[in-house]
Amino acid sequence: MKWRRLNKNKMKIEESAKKAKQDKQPFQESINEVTGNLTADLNLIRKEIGHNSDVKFREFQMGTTGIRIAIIFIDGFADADVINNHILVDFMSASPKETGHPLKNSSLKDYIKNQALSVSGLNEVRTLKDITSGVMFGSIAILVDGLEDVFLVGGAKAKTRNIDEPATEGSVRGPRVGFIENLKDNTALLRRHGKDQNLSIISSQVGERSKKELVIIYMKDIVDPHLLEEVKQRINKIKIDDVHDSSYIEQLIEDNFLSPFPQVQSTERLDRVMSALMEGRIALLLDGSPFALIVPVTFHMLLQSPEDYYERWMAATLIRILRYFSAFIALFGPSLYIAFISFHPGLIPTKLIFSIAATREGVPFPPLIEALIMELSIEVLREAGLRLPKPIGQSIGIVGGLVIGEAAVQAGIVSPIMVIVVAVTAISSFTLPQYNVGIALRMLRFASMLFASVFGLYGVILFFLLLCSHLVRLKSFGIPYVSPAVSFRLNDWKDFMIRVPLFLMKRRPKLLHPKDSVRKR
Amino acid sequence: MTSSPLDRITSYQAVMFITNFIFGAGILTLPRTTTEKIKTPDSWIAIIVSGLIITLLAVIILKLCQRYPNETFYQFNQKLLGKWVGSLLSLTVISYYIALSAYEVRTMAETTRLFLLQGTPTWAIMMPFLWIGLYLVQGGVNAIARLLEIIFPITVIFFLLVMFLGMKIFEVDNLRPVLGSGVKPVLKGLTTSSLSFAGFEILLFIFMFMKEKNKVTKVPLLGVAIPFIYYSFTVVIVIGSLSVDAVVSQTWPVLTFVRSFEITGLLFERFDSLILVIWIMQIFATYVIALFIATLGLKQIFSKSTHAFIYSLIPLIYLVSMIPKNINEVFKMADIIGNFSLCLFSIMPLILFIISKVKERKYEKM
Amino acid sequence: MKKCRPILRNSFVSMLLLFLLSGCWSSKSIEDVNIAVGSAVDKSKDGKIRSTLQYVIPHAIGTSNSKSPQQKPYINVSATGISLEPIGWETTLRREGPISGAHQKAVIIGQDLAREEPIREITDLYFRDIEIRGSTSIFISKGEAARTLESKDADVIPAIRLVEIAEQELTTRALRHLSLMKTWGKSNSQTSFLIQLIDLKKGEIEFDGAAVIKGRTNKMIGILNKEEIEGINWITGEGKSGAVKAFQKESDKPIYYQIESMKSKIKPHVTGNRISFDVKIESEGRIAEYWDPHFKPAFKNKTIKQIEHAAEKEVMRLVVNTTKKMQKEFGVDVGGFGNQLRIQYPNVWKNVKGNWDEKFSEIPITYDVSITIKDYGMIGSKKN
Repeated sequence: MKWRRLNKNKMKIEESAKKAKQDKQPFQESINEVTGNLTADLNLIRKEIGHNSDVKFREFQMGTTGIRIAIIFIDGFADADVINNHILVDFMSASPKETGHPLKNSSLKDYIKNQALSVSGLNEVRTLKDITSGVMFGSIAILVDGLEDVFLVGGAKAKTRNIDEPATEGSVRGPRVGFIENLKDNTALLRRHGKDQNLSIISSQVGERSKKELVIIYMKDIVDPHLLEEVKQRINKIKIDDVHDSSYIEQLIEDNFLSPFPQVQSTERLDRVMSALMEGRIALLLDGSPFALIVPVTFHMLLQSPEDYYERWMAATLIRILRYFSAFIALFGPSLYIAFISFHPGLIPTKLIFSIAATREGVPFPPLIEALIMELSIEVLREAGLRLPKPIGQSIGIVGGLVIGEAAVQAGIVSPIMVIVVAVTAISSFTLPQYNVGIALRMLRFASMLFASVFGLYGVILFFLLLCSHLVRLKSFGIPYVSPAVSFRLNDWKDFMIRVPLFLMKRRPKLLHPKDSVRKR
Repeated sequence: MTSSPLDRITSYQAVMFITNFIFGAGILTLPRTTTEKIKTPDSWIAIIVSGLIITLLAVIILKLCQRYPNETFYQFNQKLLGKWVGSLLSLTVISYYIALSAYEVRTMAETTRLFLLQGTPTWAIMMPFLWIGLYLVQGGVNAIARLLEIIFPITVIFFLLVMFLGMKIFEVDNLRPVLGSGVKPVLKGLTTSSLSFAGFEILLFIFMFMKEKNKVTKVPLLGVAIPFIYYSFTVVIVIGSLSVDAVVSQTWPVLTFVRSFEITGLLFERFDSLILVIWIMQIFATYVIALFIATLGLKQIFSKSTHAFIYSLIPLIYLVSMIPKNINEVFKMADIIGNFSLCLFSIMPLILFIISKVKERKYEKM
Repeated sequence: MKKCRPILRNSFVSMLLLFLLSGCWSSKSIEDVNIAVGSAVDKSKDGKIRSTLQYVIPHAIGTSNSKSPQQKPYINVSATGISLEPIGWETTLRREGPISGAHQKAVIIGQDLAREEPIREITDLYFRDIEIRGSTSIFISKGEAARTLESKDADVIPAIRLVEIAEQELTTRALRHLSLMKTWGKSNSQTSFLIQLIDLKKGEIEFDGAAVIKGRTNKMIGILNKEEIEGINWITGEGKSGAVKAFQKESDKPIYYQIESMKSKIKPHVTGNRISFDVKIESEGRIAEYWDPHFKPAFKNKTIKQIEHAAEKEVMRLVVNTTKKMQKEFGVDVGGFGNQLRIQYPNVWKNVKGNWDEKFSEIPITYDVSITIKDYGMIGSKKN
C-alpha cells in the first residue's frame, strides 16, 4: 500500500509544480521575442542570465561596416577555439562587398550565413528561452544589431577522458574499447566499429528539467519491430526531472521492480553492445553515462561474456559450464552446507562427517548463525574494499579476510570448514561477468540460507522452486527471462551451455524474433 | 490471463505437461504396488503392456481434442452433453483434480517428514509448498510449461544417474524367470500398473494452448512413452536389486533401493534423501498442473477471474490433504483417486468421441 | 505486473511470519550427535538382550594437532533390555546427545543370540529405522559380539575396520560382503543363507568361517569353516581372488594357483520327479608360488597341465566336501541351487519350495571343474 500512497503524493507535487509554471508564463511571454535592437536585447538577456558569473558577453563591430555584434557564451564550456579562430576572425575581417548600404535585414543575414561565418553547426532562434537554453548548453549566441534572428553556433566542448579498457569488465582477449561519458564519442565509436548501413541511431530526450540526450541503437533490418515499439513507448513514459546515469533509465523501464534480478543489461564494452545489436537486441546510450543499456536480456545472457566468442569453442564451453557451476555455488553453497550439517549428516561420506564434527567441536553457534557471521563479515569487507581508495581497498580485503577468518577460527567462533565454504562462495560470485547478477545472487543467498536452516535440503529445494517459479514468470521486454534454457529450441541451444564452433552458428537466436534470422550462409 | 494470444505452448512443452503429470508420487511405491498383485518378477511386462494401452487412450483423447481445437474439455463437453450434464461432469473432474493435488501434497509431506524432517509439523512442510504452487499458477500456462522444462531434465537425469550407480547390487537372477508362472499374473497386475499412468488425460485441457494443432500425434506418443520407459527401467532395477520378496515388504521400495548401496569416493556416499528431495520437484510439478487445471475449470465454468478461485482452492486442498489419518489411508486415497481417474478418463473420451461423431453426422444430414 | 503484487506481498509476509514462528524443528548440531558406526547384539546372562553401540569421538581421530594420544577414537555404550528399541533409549540416559544411525556400518550378532532368535527379528529395528541404511554389513561373532567392537590399536575404529575388511573381498576364504538388505530378501523368501562369522583372536578380530542360517527358522544352525567357505565360493562362482594349493602328493612342497577369475554355472535337470544338478566351474589364473625345485620347469605345457590338474583336484575336493556338509550335516542349501531351479523350472520349484532344504539333501550333484593357467609370473626359467 505504501508505494501507492507515495505515488499519489508525487502526483500532487507534480500538479502543483505545473500550476506554478502556468502562473509564471504570461509574465515571460511579454519579453519572449528578440526585438532586433541589440542594446535592448542584451539587457533582456542580461536580466535573464547575466547574474551568472561564467556567462560572458563580448561586443565588437563587424569589420569596417560598423554593425554591432555581441556574442554570449559560457566561459570554459563553449568551444573557445570556435570563438577565437572563427567567429571573431570571421566577423572582424568581414567586408561585405555589396553596395547597398546599409545592408538590409535579409541580405545581411544571408551574408553572414553564406559568406562570413565559417562554422558548420548554425542554428537560428528567435525566442529568449531558446537563446538562454542554447547558451546554457554550451552554444555561442551571436546577436547582430538589426537582425531579429539570433545565431547559435557550436556545441559544448566538454573535456572528455580517453577511451580506455572498461574497469568493471576486463577481458584477456578482445578489443580494449569501452564507452566514455560523451555520447557523441560513443556513437562515433559504434559507427566506426559497426560498419553497417543498417545501424540506426535514434535520438530522444529524457528528463523534464535537465534534458539529456538518449539514443536508441539497433539494426534496422534485424530488430523485431514490436520490440522496438515497446522500447520507444517505455522511454516516452519516463517522466523524471533528471537522469544522472543510465541506471535511472534501467530502473524506469524494467518490467518488474520487485524482482531481485536485473532485467536490463548494462555494459561499458563496445563489443558487447555490437554483438547484442547483431542478435537483434536494442541498446540505449545516455549522454553522460559510459554504461550502455541492452534490452531485452535473459538470465543466460547475463552469464555470458564476450570472451566466450573470442576463445576457441572448447575452452569457451568449459568456461561457460564453470560459470553456471559457480553461479550455483554462489547461490546455494552455504545453504547446502547448513542443510547437510544440521539436517542430513547421513548423506556426507563417513570420514568427512568425522572431520567436520571434529572441527565444529566447541563452536558455540548453530551453523546458520555461524554462516551469517561469516557471510556478513565478508560482505562488509567487500563493501569496505569498494569504498576505500584503490590501493588501500585491496589490502583491506586481503588483510581483513585473512585476519578475521584466521582469528575467528582460533577464537572458536566459527569452524574452519565454514570459512572454506564462505570463501569459496565469495570467490564463485566473482566469476560472474556482470556485477549486478552477482549482487542479486548475494541477496538471494541469504534467503536460501534461511530456508535451509528451517527445512534443510527440503528448504533448499523449496527455495529453488520459488526461484524458478519467479524466473519463469519474469519477462524482459516480452522475452522470457529463462530462455533459451527453456522453451526448448535446438537452434538456440547451440549457444547455451555449449558454445558450438562459430561456423555452426548459422542463425541468430530465435528467441528475439529477428527479422533477418540468418547470420551466416 | 489464459486466453491472450501470447499464451501458447510448443509441442515439446505439451509433451512435458503429459510426462510431468504422469510422473508424481506414484513412482516411489510403483515397484511394490505392481508386484503385490503379480507376485512374480514380471511387473515390468505389465508396465510395458499397460503403457501401450494408455498410449492408445491418449491418442483417442488427442483425436477428440482436435475436433475442438480452441476449447478445453470444460467448454466442449457442454456442447456435447448439454449445459447441465456438461457442467456436472466438469465439476466432478475439478473435484478430482483437487483431490489429486491434495494427495500429491500429502504424500510429499509424508515422505519428507519420514525421511528428511522428522519432528517438523506437517503443516509447516505443506504451507510453503502450497504457496509456491499458488505463485506459479498465477503465471499462467506458459510459466508452468517453462518450469516443467526446467524441472524435467534435472529430476530425470538425477534419478537415472542414481539408478545407474545402484547397478552394482543388481542381480539378473532376481528378475528371472521371465513369465515363469505364465501370463495370468501379469494380466492381474495390469490395472495397478495402468494406475501409474494416470494423468495422460491432461491433453484434454492443454490442447487449446498448443501452437501446433495438426500432426501432433507424436505429443501423446512421446508424452506417455517417456514415463513408460522410465517406469519399466525403475521397476527392473529395483526388483532386480532387491528381489521380489524384499520389494513387496517395503513401503517405499525405490527409496529402500537407493538406501541399499553406498558409493565411496564421491561427494555423497548415500543418495536416499537426495533422490527424495529431487523427486519433490516432480511432485511439485504434478501438484501445480492439477491446481492449474482445477482453477482453469472453475474459471471456464463460472467465467470469472481466476484469482479468487486460486486463493480459495489452497485452503481447500490443505483440508482435503489432511483427511487421511495415517499412511495406510494415504495409500487408500491413492488407490481411489487412481481408479477413479482410470475409469473416468478411459471411458469418457471414447464416449465423447462417439457422441461428437454422431452429432457431426446429424449436422451433415441437415 | 500489477496483478501479482498483493500475492507476492502476502506470501512474503507469511513466509516471514513462518520463519518467526518456527524453530528449526529437525535440526541437530552435528557435534552434539553421537554418531553410531557399529552395534553388537548379545544375549545377556539373564536371558535378555544386551546391545552395544559404538560411537565415534570425532576429535580423537585423524587431525594430528587436536589429537590427544591416550583417547581412543570410539566409545562403546551398552545396555540391556528385551528388545533393541528400549535399549537405545536406555543408552541416552547415560550419554548426552541424540543417537544418529545414519553412519551405521556394521551389525554384529552374538552366536548365542543368533541360534535362539530369528535373524529377521533381531534386525527388524535396523530395517525399520529411517536412518540406518540397508547397506549396513551384518556379521555373526563366535564369542561375545560386544568384544569384537574393541581394538588394541589406538587409532582404529573397530566397526569401520570390520567393514573395510569385508568389502575388500580379497580371498575366497571369506564370504562375499553381505548387506542387511540382502539378508532381508533372503529371510523373507525363507531361503537359507550364510553370514560371515568373526572371531576374536589375541584381542583382534579375524574373519573365520561362516554362520549357516536355516531358511525355515531363520536361525543359525551351524558353522562352516574357512575351507568350506572356499567350497561355497567355488560353487557360486562369486570369489574374486584367492589361491588354491595344487599338491600332487601330500608330501610335495607347495605350489599355489592364484585365481584371477572364476565362473560357475549351476544347471538343474528335472526328469520326472527326479531333480539333479550339474555344476560347471571354470577358472583362469596363474602360478603364484612354486617351491618344489625338482619339479619340472614351467615352460613346458605338460607341467602346466599337471599343475592345472592338481588344482582341479583340490577344488573338486573343496566343493565336494562343502556339498557333503551342506547336504548331510546341516541339510540346507546355501549354494544357490534352489534359485537356479526357481529360474529354470519355475513350476517344479513351486512344488518343492516349501521343503526345499530337506529335499536338497538328497539331490545328486555332479561337478565339473576346469582350471586354466595363463601364465606363471616373472619366473619361468628352467631349473634343474
